[in-house]
Amino acid sequence: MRRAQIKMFETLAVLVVFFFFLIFGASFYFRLQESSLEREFDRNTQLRAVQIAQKSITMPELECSFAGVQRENCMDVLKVQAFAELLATEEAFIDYFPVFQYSTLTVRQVYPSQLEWVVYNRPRGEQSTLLQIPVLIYDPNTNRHQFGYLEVRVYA
Amino acid sequence: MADRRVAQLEVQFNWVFILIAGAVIIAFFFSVVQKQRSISDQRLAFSILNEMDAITTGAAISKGTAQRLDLPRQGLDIACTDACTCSISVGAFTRDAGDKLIFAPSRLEGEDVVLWSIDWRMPFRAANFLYATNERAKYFFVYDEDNAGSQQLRRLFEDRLPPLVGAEFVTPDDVDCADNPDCVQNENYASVKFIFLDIPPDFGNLQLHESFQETDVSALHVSQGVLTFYERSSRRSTSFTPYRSYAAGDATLFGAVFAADPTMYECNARKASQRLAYVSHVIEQRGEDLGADVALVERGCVYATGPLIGPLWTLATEQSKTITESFQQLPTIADQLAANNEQLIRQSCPTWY
Repeated sequence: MRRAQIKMFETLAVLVVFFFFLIFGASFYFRLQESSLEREFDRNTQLRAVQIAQKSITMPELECSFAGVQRENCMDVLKVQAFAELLATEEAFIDYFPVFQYSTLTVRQVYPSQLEWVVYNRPRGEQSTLLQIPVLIYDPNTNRHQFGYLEVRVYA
Repeated sequence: MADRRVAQLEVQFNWVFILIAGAVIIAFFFSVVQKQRSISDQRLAFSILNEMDAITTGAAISKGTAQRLDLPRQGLDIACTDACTCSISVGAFTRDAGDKLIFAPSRLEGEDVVLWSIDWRMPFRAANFLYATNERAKYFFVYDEDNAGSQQLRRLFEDRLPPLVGAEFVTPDDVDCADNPDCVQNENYASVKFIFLDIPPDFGNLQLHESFQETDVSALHVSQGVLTFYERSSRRSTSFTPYRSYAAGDATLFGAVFAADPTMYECNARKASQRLAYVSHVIEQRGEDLGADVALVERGCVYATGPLIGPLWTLATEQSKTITESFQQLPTIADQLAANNEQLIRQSCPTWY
């Protein structure tokens, strides 16, 4: 009887140790999964930022065109101002949400003078990804190009 | 004797206990593996959907290009509801199409997908249309050699459609199997569309090959900007239900060819009209700013925003709510602005676009 009881307790002890190692291994595995998911989340946010930047750079609402021909990496300052005014209206702000989502779009001129236009602003939370793309800023009134960059801040 | 019996019982009980414990452990691991497999499949589908979203965004802005890309094993489902919510699905995951204007069959399956993008100009670029198809989607363009309108449309499609698109140009005799045993057949296509170029289809007398009975077959009649979509109520049905809509420019004609159904076509046409309204508003505002510039006025640069942009904006706004017969007038209004733009070029003035 005693031997059988000892055997039973031996079996139970093995099981306890086994489950202890199992739980330890599982918690280690799930921690790895969590960090992997966080990396994937960051990657997706960066991908979204690139998409929004790509779309902004090629939008007919902002880009320079001459006789119907688009000039790459160029923004027309009059269009930038008009588009910023348009997006200040509620209807357009809602309609352009699928394009820009939660982000802030700013056109900054750095030379010869420093100016900036906030085209779209819909922040969310503190975490964000920032992309800056050099552009030419064209003024049709003076027929001159200025240097600047498009700043796209996408919120996670 | 009694001791021996007790010992036997205890040993047996020990083995029963071991069996139960072993079964519990196996069941536990089995459930963990099943759960992880399900999570892994979901992650894969979600990841693929993200990738497809990025790819279609890139394809949409690469206007004028046709590219072949790998298709996910689960296939791609694209659909628009009557409320104009268009979505792209991979497996169980669905994502809103957002600002993308995609014309595609309802289901794309196979090894790859062909993405083709062109811009919609009215007369300035207002939006990019993205067309998706693959080798399992077939388009039969039915033309009449004796019909000038039909020949003109045929030349348009022959010249503009990329070689990657499964297009074939046939005559009505090639489609009707009543008198022609060598009529066109289904060669393992998942979807087939017959596009009648300025020839009204006579489905009452038209006899398609029996191989099309189990295929998703639809038709489109194109005639001077008027589009008539024909859909079958079921795969084995021989009757087609017509639905009339309208086109404005070549890009919309291509959209009608690639769209799975008239709902998809009209939803994208309405979204495109909304974009046109916004872009024309920006151009109008820009024109007013240019018109207020004293130096430009002295040079004789005139920007008549009212008569030129106003009608374009008004019509585009109307069509963004519902596509009507007036949609066909957009190119005419756009031509007036284009003519004025040419005038500004000749005067060395800043152009509208």
